[in-house]
Amino acid sequence: MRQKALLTLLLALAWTMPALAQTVALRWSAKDGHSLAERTLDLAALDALPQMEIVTSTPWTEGIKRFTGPTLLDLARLTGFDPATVRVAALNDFVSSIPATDWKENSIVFSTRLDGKSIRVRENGPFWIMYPINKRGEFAQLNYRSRMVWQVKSLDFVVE
Amino acid sequence: MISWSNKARVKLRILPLALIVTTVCLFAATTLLYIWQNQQRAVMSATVQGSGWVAYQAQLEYVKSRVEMERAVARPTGTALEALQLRLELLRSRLPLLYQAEEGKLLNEIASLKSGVQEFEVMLDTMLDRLPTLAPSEIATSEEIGTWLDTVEPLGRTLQSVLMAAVAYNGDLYRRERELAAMPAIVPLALLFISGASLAGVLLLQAWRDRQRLAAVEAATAALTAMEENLRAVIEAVPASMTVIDPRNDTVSFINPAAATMVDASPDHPDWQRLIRAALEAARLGDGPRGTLKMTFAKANGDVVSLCGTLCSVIFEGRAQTLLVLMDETRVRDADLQLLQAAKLATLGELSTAIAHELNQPLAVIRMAVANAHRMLAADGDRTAIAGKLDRVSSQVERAKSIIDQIRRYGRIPSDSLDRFSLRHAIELAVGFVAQQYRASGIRLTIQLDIPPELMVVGEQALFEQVIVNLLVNARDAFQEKALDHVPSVWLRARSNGAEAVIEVEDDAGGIGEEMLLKLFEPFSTTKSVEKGTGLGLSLARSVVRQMNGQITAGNMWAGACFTVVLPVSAAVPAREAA
Repeated sequence: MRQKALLTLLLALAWTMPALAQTVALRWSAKDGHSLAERTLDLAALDALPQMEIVTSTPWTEGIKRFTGPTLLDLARLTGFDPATVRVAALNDFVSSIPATDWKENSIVFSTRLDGKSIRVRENGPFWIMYPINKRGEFAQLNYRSRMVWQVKSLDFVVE
Repeated sequence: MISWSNKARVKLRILPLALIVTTVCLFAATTLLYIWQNQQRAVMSATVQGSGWVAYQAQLEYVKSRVEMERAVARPTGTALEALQLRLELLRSRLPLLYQAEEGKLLNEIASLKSGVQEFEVMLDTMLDRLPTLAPSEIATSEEIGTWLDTVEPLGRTLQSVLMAAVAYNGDLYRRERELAAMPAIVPLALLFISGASLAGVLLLQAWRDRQRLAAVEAATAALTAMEENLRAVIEAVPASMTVIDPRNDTVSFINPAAATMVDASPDHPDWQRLIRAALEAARLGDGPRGTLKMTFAKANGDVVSLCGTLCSVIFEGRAQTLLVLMDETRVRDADLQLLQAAKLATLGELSTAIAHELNQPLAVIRMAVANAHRMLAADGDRTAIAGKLDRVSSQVERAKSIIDQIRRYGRIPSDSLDRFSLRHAIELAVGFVAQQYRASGIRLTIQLDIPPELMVVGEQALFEQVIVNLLVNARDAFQEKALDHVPSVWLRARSNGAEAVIEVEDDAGGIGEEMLLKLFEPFSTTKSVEKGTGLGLSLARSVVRQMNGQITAGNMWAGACFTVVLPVSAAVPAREAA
């Protein structure tokens, strides 16, 4: 069992190694800036969390797509804190802020899979925050669009 | 004219409808325009921000990629190659957004660049596949990446042109947005103005129609009022007695002056109830046309008036009521009596020969008795015999006196009062008057009176006697100028069947012609020669019988004509006397 898990991990590493390391850095800090906790999750660690799925169309893709991954709520509470906002940073250093109400009231997915497959950077991967756009029309508005960050590099949770 | 007014009416009905529909449509259009403009504005601003942003991002990644490439060319370390790998991946991820994203789709210039951009995507894919295979820190690697700098050069120009197009488009969008912002001030304002004008039109039209309808209603009301006033004036002016009766409880609701004079000015006077009851009863029982009536009425002062009139339904004071019109016929009847008198005098003239003959007989007897008495006196005869002669004279004088009495009785002008009298007695008196004539004419008169002397009827006895005389005289005259093979006979019968007494006068002279029978009771209809009859006898007879609330009819029996008089029998004590 353990061997099998190791083998899977090795295979996954072998598969991803030629490309970039698919990890996301999570940090929890107080309002004054001092760090409370830090985690770095790779794809396997993310896969180990409860998975959620959003089937929707987006302004950036063609047709209906299936986004899968852990919920942002689970990630936010991973270390027992209840953060108020999160600063999401992308690979190109684009930064956007998401208030806690968004993930508390909606199932926001930190997607690791697009149509069941891991996402390459050129396809806006490896991680893409996705809202259930087709369920709530207001998510198509611009302020929400800017929160659906792709190519996520890090999540900085702020605990108040 | 009619079709024109109909068309005009249809137009009038359609016009407000059309105006209302127009107004509603304009309101809807205004609302839709407002919503559409808002949506347009939202999409525009999204596009303005988005389209420029996508192009700018791609351009930024391109520049960063070039920097990483140059860095890798200078020092192709493993880290540099990894950094380049990431940069190229990012650049590659930006390219589809140029034509795929909503923002890009709005720009025709960018959409037309799709195939060109896709060629660069393939090129970048090749590079990305190639990069992991390149060995770090090798000159060959450095040289190969150096060639990529030239390869990606056209992409830079393409991205630049896309960015320029987006910027130009943004400028255009900005201008259009400002135009849009200015437009609502004119278009919806105009629409609102038209809507308002339409509404005002509808209201004005409606008001105009209402005014017309009101005028029509007012005119109709005025006409109705004028008509009712006219009707009232006419009713007031007519000399006949006119009374409006409320059929719900048979009370009087209107009295004209003539009616007030006849009965009483107050509708609550008890005589009104008496009159109305009598009139309704007379109309129900009368044999005239429907609604007409003939009746007598005893006024409060004791005068009895003869009335004829009609009952009809009218709309009075807004509801259905009954109009009772009554004419006082008393004067007419007085004229009738004059005529009757004339007829009687004519009959008297005719009868004078018979009277002379009638009187001659007792006179002859008297002369003979007187002569005999003289002779006995001269011969100094028996006193008893002489007394017998004188008694004979006396009895003959009595006889002559009774004849003269009858003539006087006939010639008397009748009074106007109603009395109860014995029917049998009256008939016997009438028979007594004509008995001598019948004897003279050789007519057999059979009298059969099955009524007791106490049987009373109400009327004027003298007039009634004359009716019977008239009928008997007519029967006698019917035999004139007719060759008969039998003894002429006339039957006079009277009987009672409880409430009514029936008197029949029948002859066997061959009957009345069919044509004559129809107009028998009309004045001046006679079969007799001009010297003999006035043609008024039967007409007057009918008046008299009706006056007594009776009926007179004529018909042909087996051998001749038969006249039947039906009279109501008076109760033992008449109601009026009791009252």
